[in-house]
Amino acid sequence: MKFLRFIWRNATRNKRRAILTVISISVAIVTICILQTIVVAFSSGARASDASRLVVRNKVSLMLPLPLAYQQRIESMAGVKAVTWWDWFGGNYQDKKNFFAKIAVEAESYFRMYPEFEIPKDQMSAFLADRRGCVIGQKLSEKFGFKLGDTVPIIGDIYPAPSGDTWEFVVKAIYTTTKIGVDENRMFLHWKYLDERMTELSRGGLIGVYTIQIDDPSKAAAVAKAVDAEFENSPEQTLTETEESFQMDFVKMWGNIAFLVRVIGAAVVFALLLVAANTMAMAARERTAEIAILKTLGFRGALLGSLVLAESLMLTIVGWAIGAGLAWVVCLGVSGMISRFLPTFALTLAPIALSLVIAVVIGAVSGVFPALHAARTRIVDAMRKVA
Amino acid sequence: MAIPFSYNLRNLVVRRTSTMAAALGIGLVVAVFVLVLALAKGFAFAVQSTGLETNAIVLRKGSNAEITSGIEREIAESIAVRPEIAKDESGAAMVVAEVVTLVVLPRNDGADVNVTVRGTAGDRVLGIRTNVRLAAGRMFKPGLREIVVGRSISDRIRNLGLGDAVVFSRQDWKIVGIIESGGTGFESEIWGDAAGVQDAFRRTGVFSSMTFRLTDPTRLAALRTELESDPKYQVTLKTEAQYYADQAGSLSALIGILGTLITVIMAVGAVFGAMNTMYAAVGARAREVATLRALGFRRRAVLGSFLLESTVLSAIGGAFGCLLSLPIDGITTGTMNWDTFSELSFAFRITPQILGTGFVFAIAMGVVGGFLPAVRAARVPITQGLRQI
Repeated sequence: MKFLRFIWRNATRNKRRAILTVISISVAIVTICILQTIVVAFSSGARASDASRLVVRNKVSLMLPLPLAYQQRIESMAGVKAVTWWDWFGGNYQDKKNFFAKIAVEAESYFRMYPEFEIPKDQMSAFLADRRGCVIGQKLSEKFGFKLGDTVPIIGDIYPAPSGDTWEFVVKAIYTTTKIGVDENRMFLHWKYLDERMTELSRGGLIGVYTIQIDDPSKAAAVAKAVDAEFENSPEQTLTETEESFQMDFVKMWGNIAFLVRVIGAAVVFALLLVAANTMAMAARERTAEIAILKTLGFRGALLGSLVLAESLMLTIVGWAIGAGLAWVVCLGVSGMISRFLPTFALTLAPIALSLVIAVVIGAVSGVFPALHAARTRIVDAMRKVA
Repeated sequence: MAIPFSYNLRNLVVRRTSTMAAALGIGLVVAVFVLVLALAKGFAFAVQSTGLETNAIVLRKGSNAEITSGIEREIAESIAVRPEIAKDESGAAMVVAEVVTLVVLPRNDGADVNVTVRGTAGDRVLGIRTNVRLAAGRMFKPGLREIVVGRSISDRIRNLGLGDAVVFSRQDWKIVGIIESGGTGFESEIWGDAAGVQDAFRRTGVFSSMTFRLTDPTRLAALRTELESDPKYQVTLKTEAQYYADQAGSLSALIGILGTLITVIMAVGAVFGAMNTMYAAVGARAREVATLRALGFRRRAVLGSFLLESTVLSAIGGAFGCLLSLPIDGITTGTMNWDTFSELSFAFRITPQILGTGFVFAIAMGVVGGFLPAVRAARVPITQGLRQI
């Protein structure tokens, strides 16, 4: 620790260079944090999933519905604790740019099975009592200024509205969540209400997807297989998978985009490494004579080498700290802009930790050659050198 | 008098390690920049060039995409006889009522993706969509459970070649043809007979959309006003070109926002990197600069010379970045188009314009990064500089 001041004075002896280096490192740290946050946001649905839940969908594709009649058959199967169902409602609030997920749910069983959507008791009963009611996420309510009691007009697309073009839902409850990765930008409405309208159009009794709660997560594969076997010879065959794998299907659909994000991240890290290594090399070259003097005074090569290495690490860690702070600000600013694509976009600890590791590695790699050079410098050679 | 250009070139060569490092840094930024632009361009091209200006598409009121739209048979029949619809040589109306749905198929990388299945009219559709042609095999025949598949989806999805079969609702559908469309969205689709697809996907009696050739594109506005105001229809009309342009919205916006953000951040980093290199160059050459000034070169000449050097450095980086990005041109990739909820293949498109933008971007980084160090060089005091070792 007694060398800390020495390292600091060395690192900042050329203030301009130190500042430029720190800034370029922090810029790269910002980039890494943001890219990593994107990658995490892509797969947040899968991370927020629960191992005791299975999803049953139509085998052909999500576009095709399943009959409501399957509910009782699934419920009576071994290993199944509870069943609920939901459907993608689609629709637009004013314009398709205002995208958020609207999901029609069987209200009671759904929220029992998804305790991560935390709803105050009185609001929950108010929602259950009104078939035109809806539950919205805290972030959604902030984004569009929806308050309890407000009527939200949704232009129907998959499901034509009962009258005119627009469905009207009354905000009866607002949910929050403490579980990481859970989207607070959703709207839930009563499947019952939707089904009433569809029955008028003689398309009633159909649901989108069943979610099953099972007794024992270790038996997930067996239960899934049993469910699919049960409906093997029914008009609509099913495909049952864990909630995680259901969510992963969506992640995988992004395909190469996620890969590209990683490639860009790697390019940033490499470019940054060049800058830092260049700076450290310049700093060490300038000091050859000085190091020789220190050696003459009796300082060991190993110590001098570690001091150069520590200087490099100090620069990258200061850069990391500034970068992580900036990333936090940028992510807050950007999350509103891209909430319709990546609703759970938020900086978490993981990217910050990863970027710290990267900063340390860059500091070490860019410092190691100048450090070796310092350690190995021979006094006579160095003293003879003019510059 | 200006300082000879060869002075700068030789300096860059002498300090080759740090020149290379700075140029590589700028090059990587430019390569990423070009990559993002090429991705956005390729995606937008695949979606936007799908639709034709001469065609109109009818959707249910409130729907923005075929996948969420529905048109009852009776409505479709009454629209199909409108006089605004062009007729072909045989006198048949150039209109198709289509059903669009999705089927889950495994992509080559193993991921299950949604693929668009379009039920259409095999005898008329190519006459209306003149940008699509049959590349191999033949058109599907009604009533035979036959399909044709788009070229890019055929390459990217397992077992989707000519002669293979796909299972829709427990029935085998045989692939009898491959369609090509210059890399547009139709190449990511599977086409079959409308009645057969309706039957297999239990959508009997309901179409997703109608597409027709207009006798005269200027007549669309009047037709739209008439149909959209008539409560009997509950439909909305657009040109096919407009419809597909709208489909590119979400993903293009996402690529745009993230791409710009990342590029700007990287550019800031690269500018500082270039600045660092140039400051070091100026610092190490204080004596040289002072000598030049003593020889009679003006401050302005020194400033210009260093700025030029930094520009050359960034030009090397820019050229390197462009070269580095070239191999990705034409590489096909695919992602989920959230507007259609289905897989869309598209190719990276590097145009000369994109390369030009990347190069100019590199030069800009060099000029910005080199300016302050150049000013410093111009201000080196002669006497002090000469004394420096």
